[in-house]
Amino acid sequence: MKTRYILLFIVGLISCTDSFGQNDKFTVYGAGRFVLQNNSRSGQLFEQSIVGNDTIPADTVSTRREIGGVALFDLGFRIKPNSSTEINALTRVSGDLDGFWGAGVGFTFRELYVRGIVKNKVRYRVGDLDLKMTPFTVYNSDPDLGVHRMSSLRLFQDILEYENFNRDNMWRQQGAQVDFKFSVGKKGDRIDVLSYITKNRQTDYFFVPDRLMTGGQVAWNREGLGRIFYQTNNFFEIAETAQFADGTSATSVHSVGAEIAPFDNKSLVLYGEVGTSYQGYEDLDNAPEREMNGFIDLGIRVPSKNNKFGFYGELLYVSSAFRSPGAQSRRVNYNSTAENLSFQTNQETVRPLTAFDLIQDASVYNNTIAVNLQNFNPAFSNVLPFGKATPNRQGLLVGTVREADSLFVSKVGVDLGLLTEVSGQGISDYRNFTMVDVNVELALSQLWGGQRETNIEGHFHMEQTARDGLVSDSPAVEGIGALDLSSNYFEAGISHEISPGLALHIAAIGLTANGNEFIALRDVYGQVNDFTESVYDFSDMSYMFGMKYSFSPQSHLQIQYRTSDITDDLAPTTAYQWNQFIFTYNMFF
Amino acid sequence: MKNVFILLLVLVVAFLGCRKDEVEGPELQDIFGEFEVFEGLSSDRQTVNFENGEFVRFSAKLSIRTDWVITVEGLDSGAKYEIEGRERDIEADVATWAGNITYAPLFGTEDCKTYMTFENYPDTLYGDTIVVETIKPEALVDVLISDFTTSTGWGSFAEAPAANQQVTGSYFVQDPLNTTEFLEVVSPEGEGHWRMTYTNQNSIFICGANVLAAQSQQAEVSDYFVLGTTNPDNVYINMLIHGFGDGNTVMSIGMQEDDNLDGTYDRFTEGTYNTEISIDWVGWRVVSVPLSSFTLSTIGGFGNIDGTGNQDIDRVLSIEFLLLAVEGSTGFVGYGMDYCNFTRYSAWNP
Repeated sequence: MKTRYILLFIVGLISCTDSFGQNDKFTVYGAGRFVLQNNSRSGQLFEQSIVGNDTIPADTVSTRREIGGVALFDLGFRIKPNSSTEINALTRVSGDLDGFWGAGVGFTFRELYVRGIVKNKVRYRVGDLDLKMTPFTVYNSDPDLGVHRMSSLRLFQDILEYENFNRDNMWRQQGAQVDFKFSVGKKGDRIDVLSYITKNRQTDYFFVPDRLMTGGQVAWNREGLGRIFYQTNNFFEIAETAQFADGTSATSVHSVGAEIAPFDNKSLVLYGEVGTSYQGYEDLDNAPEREMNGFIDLGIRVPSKNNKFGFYGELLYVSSAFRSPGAQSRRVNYNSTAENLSFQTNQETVRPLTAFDLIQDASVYNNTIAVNLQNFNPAFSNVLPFGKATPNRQGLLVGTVREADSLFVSKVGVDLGLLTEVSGQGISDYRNFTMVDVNVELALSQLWGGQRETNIEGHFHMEQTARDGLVSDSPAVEGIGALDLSSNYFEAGISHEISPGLALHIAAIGLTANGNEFIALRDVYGQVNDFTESVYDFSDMSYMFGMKYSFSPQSHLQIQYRTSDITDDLAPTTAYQWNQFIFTYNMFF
Repeated sequence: MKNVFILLLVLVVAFLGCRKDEVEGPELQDIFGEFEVFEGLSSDRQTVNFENGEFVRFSAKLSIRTDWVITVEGLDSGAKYEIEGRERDIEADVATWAGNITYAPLFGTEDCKTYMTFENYPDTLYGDTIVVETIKPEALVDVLISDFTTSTGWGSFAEAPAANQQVTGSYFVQDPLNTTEFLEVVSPEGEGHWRMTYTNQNSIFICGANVLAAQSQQAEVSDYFVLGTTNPDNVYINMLIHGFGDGNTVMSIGMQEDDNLDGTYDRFTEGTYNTEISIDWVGWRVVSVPLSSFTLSTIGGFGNIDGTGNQDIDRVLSIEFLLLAVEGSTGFVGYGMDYCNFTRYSAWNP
């Protein structure tokens, strides 16, 4: 009955929109999605194995096949009661495909905020905020495996970013924000001011206190030259909100930076940022001393113009205890359980995340800022697992990019990272990191001047980590700490438009990792207190084909069949094959 | 443009100079290395005159950090001195012996064997035998609370029928670790000591004893212990404690303050500062605790409210010693104590 009322409410609202029309005072926006999946798996995991003298029984417990899906409808209302105020509310009705007769239907608010402008000068926003400053202060860094998705996977990425509110590297928070700007000096020069306060964590009323995040930015913009800025981001806990809290912690980050284009034609941009972080504790046992740490980032950029290559070069230094939760919080949560085929083995252990889980499954992503450094999987990302603000890194980042719609090589980008540690972890030797990322898009149809697009897309990402071990005359400790980890990720595919809006695609992705790494374990204060050695030798390959029909740039229907082979040479009994048929209709409006 | 590249080159060189020598986290060698002895236990002298201020310095080298104990044991007296550590390169700064003891009795002029054991490995490294030609001068105390031999002035109270009394001579207690054996307990100093033992059913509090300042063996006659300072950082309470190795015994020491200086202690309005010691050893061990590590009592109704709001070591009217058992444990609990005293500025070092 409740569901019926909700549906009536929505239908009523849609009717109202018709009568109101999409006028200046009332706008409707939202999204609709229908996903149907058929997942099945087979392979050695479900067979009896002989390892040495041991017989490993077949997995007779885990699910072999799952069929399911979801239908959801997001309906947002943008109401402008007057010329200076706007109210946005986004509601969601969703239901599992097997939720017959309304069972399993959920009705939630996804977004709610009010924004406006006071006296035509000061803008404000309360409720849901989307915050971003720089990659060292507040920034939702790209997830593991990057964001260069080929067209056959781009629909999944759009959905992930929409579901987790992290489009354009934003963090979704709840609070209030004010910003304004005023002119100074010469014509065109101005100062921009931004300030915000959000609630980062809710108290449990007993032991865990409320945590707030505050910050802001002051930027002086010089017309035709560039800008310099100061920004800060701070976390602090309110002890009184939890009666039995042992103590509180606080973290603050301050930085100054500049972005200057010294030539009139903006052919060269110099940029840089330096900053510090502080972490402090009150009334907490064994808390470390308050310590200052910092970072330096200096770069030069030649923008890509007129089908010519642009490039950048950047020097990075981040000290080992630099802490900036707003920039270091990770998107991928390796402690999470995948939505599809969640468990394996007779002990029902959580199935380790695969590359395709990261591409497709919104539930394996964080959507909050964490104050402590989170776990990461070195096989997926080891060079900059916490973005550019990854602590204990220094080195060089360079790259080049060109985008040209009218050329055969319509897009090419190459990024190279050569980094090392600032201080050794568990050993005086440093890890050395190499990262290569190549992204190419070839418009084959440019060769023969065809009307229908035929594109080849490729993305290759390689990471290499190496460290010498301990040098000693004794075999008891000789070579300890030596590591050599190599991981490679690729995407490659070809798509061909067979009629306007309708394209066929065939593609493959793969992730391989080989070697060992010593993973630092940290205490509640983020200090390294132990290490565990992990060894990797796995291959995660997926092959897919399908078709995609685009009703509009924001509405797509995609049908895809995929098969994945996941093998781990260190645990051959867990190898499995995952086949998936997925029907996805997605619409943003 | 050329200048920009020169600038970048300079910055690259500058960045490469930003390396730190510090190591983050514990050393991998200690976690993943195999245990091996690079250099065995040795000492810098084989004869020592402690009276002349001489020391014995020990050294050894291991492949990894691990918990170790160097023991010096008098072959005649049975006195023991233990040095505990976790270093990989053991040198004089962490392993020096000045003739003092960890376990009573005192060393005599005698031969002493030295050896090193490890908590996580079965190995024992034997070092040189050291000849003690002269013993160290007597370690003086500043305020004697009680030697449990002379004088009286102690009281006792119990919730269980425990042995809780001053004893002289020796007595035998069934060894909790080997019930077919008995441990003989002899006073380490003087003729008497205090004994608290009990076979516990399931209690936490067993019994207690106390010594009033006015009836203690301190030199000055006063209702309060005269410690010569009001800074608890500078005063240590010291004693010899006999443990039986049962692992369930906890000793609580409480300093009862007469906050309003009316000559009596009111447990509802005046504070008791206490500390607890887990007694997990066998034999008479020297124990020292700085008064600054005592905290306001959390035992309901017993000295939870401090009348002045501060730890006032110049208002301590009485010291109480409790025998407690680890919660949920049963079986033997107990300890002996002797020669309770205060020292200023450093722990008692007999």
